[in-house]
Parts: sequence; structure tokens; C-alpha cells
Amino acid sequence: MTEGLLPPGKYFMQGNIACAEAALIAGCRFFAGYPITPSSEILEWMSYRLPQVGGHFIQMEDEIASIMAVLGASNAGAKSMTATSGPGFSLMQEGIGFGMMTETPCVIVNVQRGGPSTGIPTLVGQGDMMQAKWGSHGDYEAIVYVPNSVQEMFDLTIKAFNTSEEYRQPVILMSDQVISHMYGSLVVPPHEEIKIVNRKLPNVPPSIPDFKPFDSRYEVPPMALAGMGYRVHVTGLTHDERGYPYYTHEVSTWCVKHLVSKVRNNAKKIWEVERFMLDDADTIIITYGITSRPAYQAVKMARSEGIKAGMLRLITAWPFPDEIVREVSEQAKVIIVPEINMGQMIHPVKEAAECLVVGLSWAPGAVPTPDVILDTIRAVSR
Amino acid sequence: MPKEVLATEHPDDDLIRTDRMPHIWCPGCGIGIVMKCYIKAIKRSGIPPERHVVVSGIGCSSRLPGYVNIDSYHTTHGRALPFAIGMNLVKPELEITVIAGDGDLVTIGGNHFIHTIRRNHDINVVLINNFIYGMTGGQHGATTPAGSKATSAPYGTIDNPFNLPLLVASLGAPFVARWTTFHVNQLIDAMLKAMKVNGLAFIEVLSPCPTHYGRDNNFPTGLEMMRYFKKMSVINHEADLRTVDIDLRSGKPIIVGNFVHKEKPSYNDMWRKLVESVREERK
Amino acid sequence: MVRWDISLFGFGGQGIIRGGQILGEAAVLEGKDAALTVAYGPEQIGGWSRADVVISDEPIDFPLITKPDVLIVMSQEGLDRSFNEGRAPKKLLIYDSGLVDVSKVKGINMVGLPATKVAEQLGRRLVANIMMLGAFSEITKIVKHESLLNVIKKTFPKAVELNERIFMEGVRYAKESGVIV
Repeated sequence: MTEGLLPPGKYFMQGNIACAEAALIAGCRFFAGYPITPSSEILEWMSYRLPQVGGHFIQMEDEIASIMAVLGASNAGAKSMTATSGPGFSLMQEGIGFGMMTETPCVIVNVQRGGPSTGIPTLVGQGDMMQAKWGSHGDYEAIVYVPNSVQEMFDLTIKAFNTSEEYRQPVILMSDQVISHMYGSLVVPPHEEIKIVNRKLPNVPPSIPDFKPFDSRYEVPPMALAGMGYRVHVTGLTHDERGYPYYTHEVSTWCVKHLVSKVRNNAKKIWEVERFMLDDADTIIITYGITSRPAYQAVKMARSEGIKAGMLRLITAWPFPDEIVREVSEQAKVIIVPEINMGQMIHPVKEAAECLVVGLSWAPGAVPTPDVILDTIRAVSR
Repeated sequence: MPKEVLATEHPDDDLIRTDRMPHIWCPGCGIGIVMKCYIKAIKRSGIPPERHVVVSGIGCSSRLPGYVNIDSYHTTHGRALPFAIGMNLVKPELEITVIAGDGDLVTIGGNHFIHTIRRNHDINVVLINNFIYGMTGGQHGATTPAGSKATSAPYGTIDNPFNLPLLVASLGAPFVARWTTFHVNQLIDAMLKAMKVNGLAFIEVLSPCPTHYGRDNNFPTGLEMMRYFKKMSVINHEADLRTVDIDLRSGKPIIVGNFVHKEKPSYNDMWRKLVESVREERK
Repeated sequence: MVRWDISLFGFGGQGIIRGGQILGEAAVLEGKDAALTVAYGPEQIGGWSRADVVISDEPIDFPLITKPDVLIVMSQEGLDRSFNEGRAPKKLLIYDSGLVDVSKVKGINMVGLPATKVAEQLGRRLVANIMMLGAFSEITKIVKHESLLNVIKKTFPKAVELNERIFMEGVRYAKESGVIV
């Protein structure tokens, strides 16, 4: 069904709009959200587009309501999405945990701005990277994509939906104010060439006795939706494979291990990185999102000065591609982690790397320029 | 220690998750009565159980969905309504009933509550008001009558409780009722009416909590509270809602009834109209 | 790699951002890469407004501008802010001569055109930005007249003739100035 969707072609488009159009192509037909700078264009564009393509849009009273409406819609069968920024992302954390526990697919876009607290609403930040991983309480494995261009706002939004449907859990797209507000070139391929994944539904009739909505025979159980007749019980409490609350340590062990292992066992399939001038590099930048853009240039400038610089760009921040970082670190003298926060992704890098790791902590409100990164490369490669 | 009782057979077994019995509710608690009424209403509604969905938040009352053998969703504290809204928008053919307590729906969930009613979503809301936080051990909430004692108000509460029928009616809900767990037949009837209402239907059910409310407020058993409901309730469908606030100490009657029952376009009706006009414009 | 950093600066209501969008889209449709970032003052209406456009023959690494090659300025505040913040243009300044006093600017290629005045004479103040684009295109040759006019036509289908006319006015002023970069 491609009627009403963004036609294939070449565009000069804003990141947030590219994200919304990609969501529609991925099959998103439900959006609930609350306005917040710098993500509001996604909400506004969805309010304009969803009625055109037979979907539903609702502006809720806050971000807590938004994520809960998204989870309700997904349990009724719609591919669902919300978009927010820092403070709203904080408010959504309880709902994200509920989505993880109930294995409900959905996509959450967080357009990062300056923080903490209200911070700098209109300017860039990358201060929510750890929150995306650990923001809700308890054990789960976050899946987090970090786009660095308008094209990736499009591509990774579709991928976020696919991954969310495949692993039956919320997936987070961590954009930032610059990538989201920037206009850039976008190529939309023919729709039939775009891979779309839909969640698995039960392949047994509802009449079978003892249907188990969280059947432990599956790594990712098929999802029985509201109204299909399976009479499911879905709860945020620790539950067994019938969905019934149970607090024995045996059930708790099964429950949380199931939640984390469906991601951990498939981490290598989920990981995505970009290797830039890495072949003989010994001074390696590891970064992500907008910060990778000046880093490309800094690496090239360093190369022209004879420094063997390169970059590993994280496209999935979580699950963290630790084996790739370890492997890359074996050829490195030093790894530099520039990020627009006071040091977040440097921690898993340090945990994985076998070499010296230094941070380039940049306060929110501005993107470090290529010169800033080059200065650090020069300083550490001496 | 209360003796464990296993239900072996019950006329409503087809809609009860018997494998989850015994339930967690205390002797004298009124929530089981509400569950019984809800099951009766499902059966009499003419809507097949597969199309009924029950959604709750957190608390003693919110455990109810887990025992009813239909699609049931036990969500986070105070957030049953937005979850139900998402489901209702995507599948308006489902008959969604949110059943949760006073602490859940109008204390932590107060913001969602007012906006859900304002937008007139096609959802039935059954609020079990036992005047107290039960599951967390007897703290006071937004419906605890002023002066009541609670574990977080050992000297008596000083805050004013909500007058819920007045609040809900002021937000324009097409159906507003209040009953008590003593009024079983009227409650079933109100639930049936709610299921037929196009838009938001609200029922407040006053219910005894001997363990946490009654204990310190002169209703030591469920039976005594039920007697009080029987004695003090006055049915008045036409009541002036400004006068229906609850005071359990002064001898003030408890006004119950189906206070509001009117036609009003639901959110879904408005959405359908909007989509039609957008499609028409694009032609 | 040929990379151009172009900054358009004016105030809200002059079509500064729209100008940046048109420029970027024209470049992309020519097969180049482009990036547009915008900034404005806190006022909802009438505050300062800036559109930074990067155009490159190759994929753009860093999409932001630290010091523009070309500054297109349509307000005094735009000129002053750019110079005070170290963002004076490296190669070319195009300014609205009816709105911006450049008497203190030295040592930079400059072209002034009375864009707002001409637009007013044509009955539509709002098209002044298109005249600026015409002059820019003629002097820099970064994007073709034709590409810009195509995007302008698509963007304003109800005012095709007017926009083409004022665009060509900009081209004429630029030619007459004799400035090349």
C-alpha cells in the first residue's frame, strides 16, 4: 500500500520531516505525542499526514500519556510512534519500561537538546545517551539508533520500526537538534525495494487450550493482539509465559533473562557501525550522531598532516558493539571519544577497548568544529 | 491467617481465570462485587467476550482485570486511560472498560482523567472508590474524606476530596453515575448503560476497604460499611451534583444514581468526520 | 572538493529561511550535496533570522558554517551580527542597499542591490529575497539560474512571472556591478 506515501525521488528535506515520512513508509499508522522543541515538527507533520493515509494522530496531555497511548495502540495492532526531547524523554521512561516488560513494539524518537533540566531547548545536545540505555528501572536491553544525516533520519526510522517489530520491543531513535532541524539531501528508493518487517502473530487458533502469550518456546513470542480472541493477560508485573504475575525467583529469572537475551543473542545482527579511514589508523575517533560530521573532516585534515587518523562511527549505540570496538582498539594507540556531553559513551568504549581512551567532552549548545577535534587528535597523537 | 479457598466451580467460571484463584483481596473488600457485576454486564451486553477488553492501572482495584477471562491489560500507575485511548482509536469496535481505583485514576492519574473525559473517548470508566490507598498500606488520596485517618495522615487528613460526579459532569461526559457495592443490580444496569453510551461513560463505585480505611475510621468490617451504604444511600438521578460530595462522619446522605445520560459525539465520531473531510479535499 | 558556505541573514518575514531552502534544493536537484541550518532570535515574529547553506560537489562532512564564503544580508543587524561574531564573508558580500549601511566594511567584494525597494515597486515586498538569489547566482555560478528558477516556480506556483522578473532584475544588477569571485 503505497498510496499517499512520499514517492521515490530526490528531496531537500528537514530531518524531522524525513523521519515522519519514513515512519509512514515503514507502516506507522498511529502517533501520539506532546509538543516539545526541537521535536515538534514530527508531531505537526504526523498530524497533517496521518489522516491522509488512514492512520490515527492524537496530541496527548503529556509525554506519559503519549507513550502509554502508543503502547495501547500497538497492542491493538498498529505500528506506533512518538517523538520527544530530553524532558519529555525523562517522563516517558516508566512507559518505556512497561513496553519492554510487555514486549510491545513501538518507536520513540528523542531529539536531543541541551540539558540538564530545561537546559537549552533550541540547541544541540547528546546528553541522553545513557538515559536511552538505562533510563527505565530494572533489566532490559535497549535498542538505540543514532542518525547523523537527513538520509539516516529516513533510513534508520524505517530500521527502528523493523527492529522493533522483529524483537517485539520499543526501539529508540536518538536524533539531536542539528540533525533534526537540518535540511539535507534525501533519496527515497522505490518503495518495493524498502525492507519492511511486520510482527509475527500467533499461528494457532484462539480456541486452543492453554494458549501462552509469552510462550517460552520462542525467542520472540508471536504477539496476540487485543480483540483476536486469545484472551491474553498483559501486565508490567513479573510474569510467566501465560502472562500471569508470579514472584518466584524461578519465574523472575526466566522473565528478565528472556527480555535481555532476545537482544543479547542477536546483538551482532543488530550492531551497525561505519568504518571511516580505519585501515591503517592508529589514532581512532569513536563517536556518533552530529559529532561524527566534524569528525570526518578532522580525520581528513589529520591525514593531510601525516597523522594516521580514522573513525569508527556508532550507528547503533545500544546494544553497544563492544567486540567491534575491542577489535578496532587492537590497532590503535589511542581512541578519542568526542561527544556533546560530559562523557557518556566513553564508558562502554573504555570497558571494551584495549588501548588508551580519552574523551572530548563538549558542553551542549554547539557542535564541536573540525578544528576542535583536530586539536585533540594532534595533542594525543604526539 | 485467612484460610485459602479454591473455587472449584462457579456459574461465571467461563469468564473467570479460575487458575488464578485465590485472589489477593481481603475479606470484606468490595472489589470482588464489582468484578461480579462486570462479568454479569459482559454476559448481558450482547457483545461477545472476545470484543470486551478491560484495562487497569496499579492498585488493589487494578488487579481485577487479571482475574477476568477476556483480553486484559494491567498497565502502569495512573496510566490506564491513555493506554486504553490508544487501543480504542486503533480498534474502535472493542468495548473497552477501564477499571481502577481512586488513587490510580484521579490521584496520580488525575491529568489523564480530566483530558480523557474532555475529549470524550469511547471508553467506560469504572472507578472503585474505597477512599484510601489499599495496596501500599492505607495512605490517604484524592477521595479520602476530610478528617479521615490514614497511615500518612495519623492526625486526620486536612485536604478536601474530589466530588467526582460534579467534576466529571463539568467536563461534559455523556454518562455519569455513582453507586455503591451494596447496589449490585443498579451497578450492573449502569455498566450495561455505559457499554451502550457513545463516548465516555463514568461510574463511581463506593466500596469498603475494612483493612485500610475502615480500621481507623469506624468501619472495622466490610459488613459495617455495607450497612452504612444501605442506610445512608439516597437514590436521586436528578441530584444537584454540587451537593453530592461525600462526608462519612456528619450523617450526610450518600447520593447515588445515574446522574447524566445524554447523547454527544465521541472523539471517534469527530475523528471520522475529520478524515472524511481531509479525503474529500484531496480528491 | 569544491565547498561553498553561504549565509543568508535578515529578519523574520523577509523569506530568509525560504531563500536557503530554495538554494539548497536547487543544488540537490543539480546532483550536488547541500545542507541548510537555520537560527533565529527568540521573538516569534520579526526577530533576526539566519539561514546557513553549505553546497558541495561531494558529500558534506561538516554541515555547519563557521565563517561563510558568501554573506547575503538583508538587515543592518544581520551585517553587524555577522561581523561581530567573526562571520564576515571570505569572498563576497551581497546586501540590500536600501536597508544595510556598509560604509564601515572594507576589503571585501561587495554588491549592493535595492531588493526591497524594487520588490515594493513591483507590488510585493516579499519577493525581495528572490532578487538577492538572482544576484548571488549570477556572480557565483554555484547553482544555475535555471535550477533556481525551477525550484522558485515549484515553491510559488501562483507568482511565477513576478518571481522570474525580480530574479532577472537581480541578475542584471549583478552583471552591471562587474564583481566576480
